[in-house]
Amino acid sequence: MDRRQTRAFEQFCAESGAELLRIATLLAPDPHTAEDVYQETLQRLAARWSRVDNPRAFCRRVMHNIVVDHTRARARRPELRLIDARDTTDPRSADPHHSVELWPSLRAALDSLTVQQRTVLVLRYFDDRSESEVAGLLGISAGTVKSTASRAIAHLREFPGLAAIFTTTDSMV
Amino acid sequence: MPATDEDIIRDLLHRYTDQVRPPASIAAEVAARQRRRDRRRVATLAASGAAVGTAAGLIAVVPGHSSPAPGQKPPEIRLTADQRILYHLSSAAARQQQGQGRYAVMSTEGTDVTDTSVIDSRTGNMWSYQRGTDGTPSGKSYSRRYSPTAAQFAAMPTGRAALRAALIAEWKSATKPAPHPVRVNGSKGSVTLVPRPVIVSDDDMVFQQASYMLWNPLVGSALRSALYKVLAAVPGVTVNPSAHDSMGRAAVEISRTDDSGLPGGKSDKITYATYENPATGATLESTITYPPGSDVVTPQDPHGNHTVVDTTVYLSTTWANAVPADPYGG
Repeated sequence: MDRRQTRAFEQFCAESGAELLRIATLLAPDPHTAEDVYQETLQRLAARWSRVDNPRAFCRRVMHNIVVDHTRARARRPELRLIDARDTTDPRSADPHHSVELWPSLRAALDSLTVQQRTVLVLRYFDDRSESEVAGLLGISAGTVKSTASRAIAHLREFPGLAAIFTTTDSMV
Repeated sequence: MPATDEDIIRDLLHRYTDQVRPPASIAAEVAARQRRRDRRRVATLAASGAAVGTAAGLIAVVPGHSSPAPGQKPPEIRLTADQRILYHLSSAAARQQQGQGRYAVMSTEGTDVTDTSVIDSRTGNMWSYQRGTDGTPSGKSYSRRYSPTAAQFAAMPTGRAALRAALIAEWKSATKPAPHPVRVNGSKGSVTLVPRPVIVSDDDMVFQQASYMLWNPLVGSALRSALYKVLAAVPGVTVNPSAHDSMGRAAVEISRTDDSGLPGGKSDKITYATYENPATGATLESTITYPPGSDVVTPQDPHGNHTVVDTTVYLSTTWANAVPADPYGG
């Protein structure tokens, strides 16, 4: 990586870093792992910078692979998890869509999905990518993306702590 | 209010992360780390190639060291004070024993980053464990064939001329400097950026290549000893025998500012320095000093307007027969 490539790399990070870390936060089980995933992704990108045509797509593929690796490693070596210290006393909790009380439930719900379901969900609905784009990124068929997303949403609909949101919305429609 | 399940999911995912911001230092730190890795990789790629077999018949490229005619007395070689210091280092390095064990475990500290690298002397594969700091999370990585093997290093030539020629040849094969954009004023006052090839002098290549190789613990004592002798013959090398590294350890500082590196062969004014243990010839620290305007940016200097010193401190090297666990608990 020469000096101009370094500058281009840092420019990319400045423009896309927040978006990448948000995706890592959704894919990883906790904020610390998310930062690890984010940094490792950038490290791999930096190592291949001159050969990567589409850094954004590259980062998404790499993040998925890293999270898969983390998940496998965690399965082999379960670790003690600290209690999530997220604030749950937000005064806006009267509105189910604003309630930060949802966050522990959402985190738990995301963690209960498979890595592939989680990645499909994040790429489809956070990153707003089409089914065919997600299929291309993950190396699976568009049909698999569709069915995976559908199963993931159905799972979240039934998840304790989140079900109320869907129910509320159902009753309003 | 979201209406469909997909909209609800979309809304939740965005709200859940809308306060997430990456620490600004991570990208700069990753880039700095990559620059350090590239520096090592340049050396290691070159060494790999050189180990394949440099022609033993390569004739001296060092000025003033041609072979004497038969029956003629060899010319007297007078060493400068700097060269004498480097020859002392060469002798000290030659006396060192190679560590016992398959894996070299090297603890280093860079700018805001502390890591431990484990290099397999048989395969050159490397595990790198990084300790997290404020704004820089811990992490680990694995690189296949990151370094030449100990055997490949051992196969490199140790004759000064052959080693110098090998370093130049391999620098050329391993490093392809990117074209440098140059402002050209057109006849109608227009300004365009034209890529022009960067020219690097043989002496720049030799110094960069040799000084890069010194950090690698897989480099054996004979090669390390030879590298100091090669450095002693490079014009423009400055030696400070009374220096200290940034940890305060007594060191011999060997430094040189590039005499080329820009289109047309102009100097890019980048200074490379390596700090060596005077008793053992082991590398204690290496630095690259980029002058203002070198396009090297940091979180503190996002426009590259100031001098940037990229430092790697080598804290310790030990040897093991198995890959150690992550010392930072990752």
